[in-house]
Amino acid sequence: MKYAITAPETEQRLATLENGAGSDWELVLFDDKGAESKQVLKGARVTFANGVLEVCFASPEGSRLVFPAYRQGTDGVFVLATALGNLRLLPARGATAEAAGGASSGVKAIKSSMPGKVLKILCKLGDVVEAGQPMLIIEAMKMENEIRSPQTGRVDEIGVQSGQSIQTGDLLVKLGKPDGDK
Amino acid sequence: MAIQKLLIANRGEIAIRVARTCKRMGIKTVGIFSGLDRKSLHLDYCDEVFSLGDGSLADTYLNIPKIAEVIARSKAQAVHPGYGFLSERAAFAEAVKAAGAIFVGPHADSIRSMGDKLEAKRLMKLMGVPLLPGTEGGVKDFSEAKTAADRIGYPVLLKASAGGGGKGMRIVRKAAELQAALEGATREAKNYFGDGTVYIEKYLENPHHIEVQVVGDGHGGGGHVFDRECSIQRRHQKLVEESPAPLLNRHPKSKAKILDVATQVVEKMKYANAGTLEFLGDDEGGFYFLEMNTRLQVEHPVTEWVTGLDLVERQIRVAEGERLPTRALVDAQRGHSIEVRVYAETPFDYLPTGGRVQALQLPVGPFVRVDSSIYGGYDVPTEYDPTLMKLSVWGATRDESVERLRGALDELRILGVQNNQGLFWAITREKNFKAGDYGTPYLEKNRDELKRLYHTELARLMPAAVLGAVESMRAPAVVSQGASQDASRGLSAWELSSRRGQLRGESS
Repeated sequence: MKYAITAPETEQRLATLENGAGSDWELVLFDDKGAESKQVLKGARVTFANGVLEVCFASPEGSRLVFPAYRQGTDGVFVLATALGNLRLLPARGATAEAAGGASSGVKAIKSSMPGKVLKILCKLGDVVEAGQPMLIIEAMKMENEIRSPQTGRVDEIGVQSGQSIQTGDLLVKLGKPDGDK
Repeated sequence: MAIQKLLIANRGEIAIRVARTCKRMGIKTVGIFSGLDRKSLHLDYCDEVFSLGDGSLADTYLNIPKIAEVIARSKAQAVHPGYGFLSERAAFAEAVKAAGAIFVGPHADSIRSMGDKLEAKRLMKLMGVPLLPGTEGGVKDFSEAKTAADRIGYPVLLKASAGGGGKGMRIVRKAAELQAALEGATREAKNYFGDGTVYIEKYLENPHHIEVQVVGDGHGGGGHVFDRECSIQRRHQKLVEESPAPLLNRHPKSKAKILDVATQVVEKMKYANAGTLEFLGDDEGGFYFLEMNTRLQVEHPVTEWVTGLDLVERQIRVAEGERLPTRALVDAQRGHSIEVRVYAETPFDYLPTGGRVQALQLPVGPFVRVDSSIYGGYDVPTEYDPTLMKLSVWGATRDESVERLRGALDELRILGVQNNQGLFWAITREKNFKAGDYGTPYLEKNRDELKRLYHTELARLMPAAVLGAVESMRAPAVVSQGASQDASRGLSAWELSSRRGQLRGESS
């Protein structure tokens, strides 16, 4: 069985994990530049129960990592707390399809990376925005954050209203090709 | 007069901090809370709590009449404002007095004069405190600005007189850029603060943020409580603070002078209560007055670690009328302390996060202190500032305190709320920080190296993380049931580790 996992907030974009003989796993990591590194995890024992992830490796002998962890929602998102903060991992299929689809069609859904309040909407339906152009201002933690367009495109949908409270992942703006059909 | 009941006009970790000292001193505490803070931990630390109702900050924690009403209803004899909120509003100090209670802070006129940056500089100059070369007041027009900038020497910094937080600020590196920058700064100052006054000062290329803690008795007694360095900042907000200041350790003469200046200010202003003189320092040991904060600072724990003083107790004693000799409150700093501010934000882009704390493991052990107001199951609100906790440590030497901080950060786990502990993980391993050699441009200058350190550790964790993600997919889809148990309030690190023991028993 082969699994593909992404960690979207890190530059570690994708990993595949395949179980080979016995309890050996072959792990391939791809970073955001596409560089690939392969390693064999010999005799790894994994348990996830009662909110704790425990991983014991056979090599080096006696090595063991433990993290508080939980499953977020129902779509397979797995979050663990480390000394670097939280790592969010999810099955790659949906995520890569979205990224790939977005790239090929020129359509892009811009979702909020933070919870907060929409302070101001700086674009309107049908506007053609340039890459880097501010589209909205979101207030969170007493600070104003400008949400800029990642690419040139036409505003095909605005998913929020001024003054509205929003959560991480809420659709802010959907961009289409500047000259394309909706 | 001995205070028997004190109202804490704040929320979160600082309200808890004040309540702890009050409890030790046998003072009853009165807490206040907004509708969003019904489940805030500070309520558990107060003897009585009063609702300020729902609504915005202006309707709740910044609503002076409502708080005055709580003073009357609770019969509190004193009010501690914490930091932020109303702590530096002269009108609040006056309202507390009018309500018949003691304001645990400076006189209203000290707050007022230090709150106006130009007035504060004028007074400091009179008292012989060095200022950064600059204009005495706002510049009237371009030609006045041009003359001043030529006299000061480029680069110069344009700043809004009524400003703060980087708004209305412009760096000008040559004369040709001055006019456009002046127009921009004036416009921004007018828009944000309703006052377009802009002044000019010398811009330092590698400035250090140096500050001196003071405590005064309001009659000329009291003095400095040593120095801190808080040069590591993002968006003009501090992230890492330490005492003693590494910069001043390299310039002992400057250190003696800056501390002496601070004691003189306390005496000449007849300053009452705790305050902080903030300075810009340069790599040659020069220091220039920036502003004075007329309240307890967020980073006061590092001063407490190296002086052994409980600064909240000192504030209360002075408010009760204690008189002090005119001199430093303690003779020396002992060892070294560093604090980091764990914020609900991403480590390298400083984007706000939030969410529910699913599980929490706090660092403990020798010389480790956590000032926090979060718990398992707590929903971090996005309406207030992003501080999740302040983590501070002590060491006999600076090296020892850096090592200890590394260990404490390794123990800290905040599941469910993305935070910036990964940035501190990297900073405490970066060689310039380890050498104590950094100024306010530190984060921009060392960004690549900090990210490299972070990603080295990330690569070490990824195999376990990916194995865990796969394991969680294979497990029956009982969504975060274990986590929601962890989320139950009051679950301690001890309980978690004991359950982990059971887990080991099962799996072995």
